Amino acid sequence: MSGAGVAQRLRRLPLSWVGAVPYLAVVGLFLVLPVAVNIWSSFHANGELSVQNLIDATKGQYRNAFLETIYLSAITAVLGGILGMVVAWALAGRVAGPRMFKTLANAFTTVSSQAGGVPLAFAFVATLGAEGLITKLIFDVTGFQLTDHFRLATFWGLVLVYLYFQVPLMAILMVPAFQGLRVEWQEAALALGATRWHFLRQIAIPIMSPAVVGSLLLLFANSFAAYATAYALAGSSVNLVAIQIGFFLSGNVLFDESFAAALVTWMMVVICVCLGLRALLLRRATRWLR
Amino acid sequence: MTSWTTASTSRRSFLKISVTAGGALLLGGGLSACGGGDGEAESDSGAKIGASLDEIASLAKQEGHVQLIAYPETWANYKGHFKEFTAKYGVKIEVANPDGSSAQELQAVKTLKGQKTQPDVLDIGYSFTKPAIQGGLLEKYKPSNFDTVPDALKDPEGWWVGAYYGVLTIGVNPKAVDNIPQTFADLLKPEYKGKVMMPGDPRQGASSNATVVAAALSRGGGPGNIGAGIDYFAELKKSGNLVTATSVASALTTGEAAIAFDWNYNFVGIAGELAKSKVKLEQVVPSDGVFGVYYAQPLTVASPQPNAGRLWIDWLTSDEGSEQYALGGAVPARIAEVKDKLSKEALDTLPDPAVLEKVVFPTIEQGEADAKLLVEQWGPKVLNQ
Repeated sequence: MSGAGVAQRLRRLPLSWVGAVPYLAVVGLFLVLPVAVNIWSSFHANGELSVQNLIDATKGQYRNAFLETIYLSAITAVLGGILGMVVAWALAGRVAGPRMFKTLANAFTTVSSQAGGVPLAFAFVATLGAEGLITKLIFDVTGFQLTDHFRLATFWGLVLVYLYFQVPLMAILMVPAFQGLRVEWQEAALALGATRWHFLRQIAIPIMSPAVVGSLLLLFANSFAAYATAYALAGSSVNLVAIQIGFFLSGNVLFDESFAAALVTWMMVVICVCLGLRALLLRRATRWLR
Repeated sequence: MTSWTTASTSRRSFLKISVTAGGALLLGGGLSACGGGDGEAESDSGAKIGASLDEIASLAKQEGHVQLIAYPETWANYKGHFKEFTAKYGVKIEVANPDGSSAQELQAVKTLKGQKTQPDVLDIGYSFTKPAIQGGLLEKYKPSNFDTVPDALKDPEGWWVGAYYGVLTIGVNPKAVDNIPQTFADLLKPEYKGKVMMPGDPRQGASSNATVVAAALSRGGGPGNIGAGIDYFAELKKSGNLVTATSVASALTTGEAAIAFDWNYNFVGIAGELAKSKVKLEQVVPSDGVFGVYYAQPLTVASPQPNAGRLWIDWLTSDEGSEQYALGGAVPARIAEVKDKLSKEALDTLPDPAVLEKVVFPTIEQGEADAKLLVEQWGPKVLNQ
């Protein structure tokens, strides 16, 4: 590094710090402080310093809740990821079709990727619930009672509803990656004697994999922390960590902030492990770049 | 009381914890310095308190309003209370977060302590009285009718009184069943397949929690011994009779369920809504599990309208307040004493006096033990069997 470069950087430093102040203030107030208070609270039980809550939070029902939440998040991330890739591939211009259709699909994807909460749950209840439009239509036409075989207030019901936002979210995240994959590269590879498989394996996958890994992780986190949709749809019939936390913070029966905080701490641990994994995978995936 | 939470509420809660972490420390010292007791002339905040009910009423009028939290208008006829209270004393009612839960009420006191918007009086599930006292969120006050409130419905030192209670009741849509069930045992019969609902989860909702205790009573258990009730619901679920739903009114009107458990006064509260769908509910107190639970109305510590807050608690436990509760189907705590003074309409809305005599109440210790067992067993035994 040249001396002039360092000098220039030093001169720029104060101003760039001023620019970062609002950002740092927001992060400090809304991320660092709550996380710190939560961790502090989770190391208490009955008002005294203790790790009992953190230990109890890994046992019985709560262990079960963590496993089920991780399972639900992983399944919706992988299924949503695969389906979303297909959609992104179609939207990125690999398939011929009317322009109008593509614009519409694009708009829908953008909107539905942000759908969630109670409205989404209600939409599904109104279509596929016990008295839903589609449920009734199927019954009237074929005499087949859908709710005998499939109920929304179950694990797989939640998977279906989560896919409604997971698929478009994956699609939106992956469209730029697909667009970055130039047709010329494929042509060049083919001209040099590569098969389609070679192109996929040695060019397309290495280029796309950082984006895929990053997006899958985002999908995982997205459903890991989802609360309102699951709560409105399934109440407590699916054992999720976020719902268990709700029992302790906003119920009419139990009240234990420290225990809720202990559950939150473990949720943060899970997300941190995921971020660590992502960093590792990204390092491997981008090795060819260095 | 009814609770409806979204992701944003839980996020906000973290912030509340952070804001109040410091406040809690300050409070511990403040409390020990000021003892409560009868006839004190100052509140914990040092404000002047009337020595008699008349003086409290006139000071309350100067304060202008009483700040409440989580008092829904359709709950226990609070709408009628608000109207009559303001008409009598000229003190306005302000209600924050009317549909909030008990946990949110305690959070609000912690967060708003010392501010103008701090609630003066709460309405919390009985199991929340202990954490509220331990957290230093309350101030003692014995209203003028304190002595005639039954012992089971008040704290002996005056930390709180429970002005009303509900009786766990089965609401039945008579058009959707052939026979009206009379007991918990009846509900296990195959004729009720897919027809019975409990609102929400007993680990979260007070009435569903009480339903499990009442079911335990039907099998030799009871408050403090809820295990038999959990087993009952495991059987009910296995039989296919129990359906999942959160709202009693919508489940009964859409036909998702024909039979629901709730407080008797909540069925009174939704009668109008059900009538729109031509459902006229029949109410049955299961004869094998007569169980009642009260809500407590404590004064908060150093509340901003100390006289108006005290006046509100006096009102709730007065003869006139009892009448308003009864009109909404909520059983006034002083029922034994006021039953001759209540209007006929009010008496007709309450459960049968013979039933009321049999009502069993839980103690706070029993409630704690039951909640603990529910948390351990409800998931594995009932939900994921």
